Amino acid sequence: MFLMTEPVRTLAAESRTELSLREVVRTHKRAVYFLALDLTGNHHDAEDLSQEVFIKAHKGLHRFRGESGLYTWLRRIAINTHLNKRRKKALSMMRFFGDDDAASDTVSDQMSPAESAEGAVLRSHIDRAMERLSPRERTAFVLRHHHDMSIQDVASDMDVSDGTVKSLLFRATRKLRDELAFLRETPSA
Amino acid sequence: MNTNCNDIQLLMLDVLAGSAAQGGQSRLDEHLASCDACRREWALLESITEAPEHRPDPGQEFWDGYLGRLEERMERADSADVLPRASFSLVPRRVLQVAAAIAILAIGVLLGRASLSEDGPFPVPGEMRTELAALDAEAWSVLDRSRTLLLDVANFDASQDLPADLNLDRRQTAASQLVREAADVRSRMSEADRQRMMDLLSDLEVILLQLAHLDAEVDLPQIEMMQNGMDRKALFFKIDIESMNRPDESTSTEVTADRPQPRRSAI
Repeated sequence: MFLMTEPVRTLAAESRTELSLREVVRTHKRAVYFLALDLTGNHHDAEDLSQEVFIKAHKGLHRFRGESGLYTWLRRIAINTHLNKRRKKALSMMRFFGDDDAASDTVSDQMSPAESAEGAVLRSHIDRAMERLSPRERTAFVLRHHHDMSIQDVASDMDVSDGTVKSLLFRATRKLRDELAFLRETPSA
Repeated sequence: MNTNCNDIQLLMLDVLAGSAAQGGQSRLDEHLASCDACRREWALLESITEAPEHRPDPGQEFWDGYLGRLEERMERADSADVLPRASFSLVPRRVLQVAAAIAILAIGVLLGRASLSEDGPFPVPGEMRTELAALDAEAWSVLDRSRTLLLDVANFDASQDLPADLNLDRRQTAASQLVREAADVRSRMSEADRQRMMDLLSDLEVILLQLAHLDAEVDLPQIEMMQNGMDRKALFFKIDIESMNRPDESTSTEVTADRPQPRRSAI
């Protein structure tokens, strides 16, 4: 029988805190969901990914040693889960159709009521342009620019080198710039 | 734009990626102080890399039900673990792949046959057809008014025409309104599966947005940028093509021939 309220002892030596997954979800669901939204680009996949994160966290919570913050740990689970899923999807499509284009993101066109209509239009064009990024490019980009993480932290979460992160960021920004250049293009002299 | 600007624009990407050499930021700042083109480029990159101010919130109902849905999913996963696994693993993968391919072909044939029927592959119930027709009508209204609004801008010739003739204030107010309407129609249209129309509305939004943000003192480079954008996206051509799909147009070619056309090539 599944008990979300069952306490799970962590090895956080300082406080010997007992955490229940229900508490973890209650505290972190919004942050994990919005991270998943940034990674996937649409609500449906974001909810799916965020739930997978908590399912994996539930299975591994007893191994959480507290050397990083709990959200940092959840974030790493989210990133690895997302990239592994995209990798598997790309491989399975290659095997079946011989096509390595596995992108199937849907643009999130929901307007936030707090945003102006024009801001929402601009944002929707940036969101569409972001569909052109590979999963790794998009992940590096959102972590660096939307979550304000240092290059070292991004590299750590993605399990790659700093140089790889820089390369991904360079490619991602250049692709986005090329997609959105018509917004700022100047006439030739 | 000179070679130095090309180098600077690569430097911008390096700076944003955190891979610029020492002194790169200073070099960039120094150049931006005196180069309008690169300043615009930098402004574009800053807007691209800026974190969104607001993310679309799925609503309180979503959050309230989140834990419950997660618990249900975890219970389903737990139940699946105790059930005996299906014996699919005994079937060679290649056989499964071939079977799946045959199934897909069969579905394709069925869909092809169904598409020849009067109502298409998925007959639309009457009430839904009315809603779709109303949505299409709204979209065409946006297209028509946008076309009228943009035509004079498309035909504006800085060497011959007076900026004051454009009546920018009035056009900008109309453009702002049309941006909102286009975005609204497009968001509802995603359910109705009108990808081409959605793409056209999306392109229109960009141009209308540019018009809405023109400087009060007429910004000629911005007007030329809009004209280039309209040409590149073949905007008027696409609007005319969509007009051919209207059910109340008697003869589509006659209608498009009678309409004023942009002076510049739209194709």
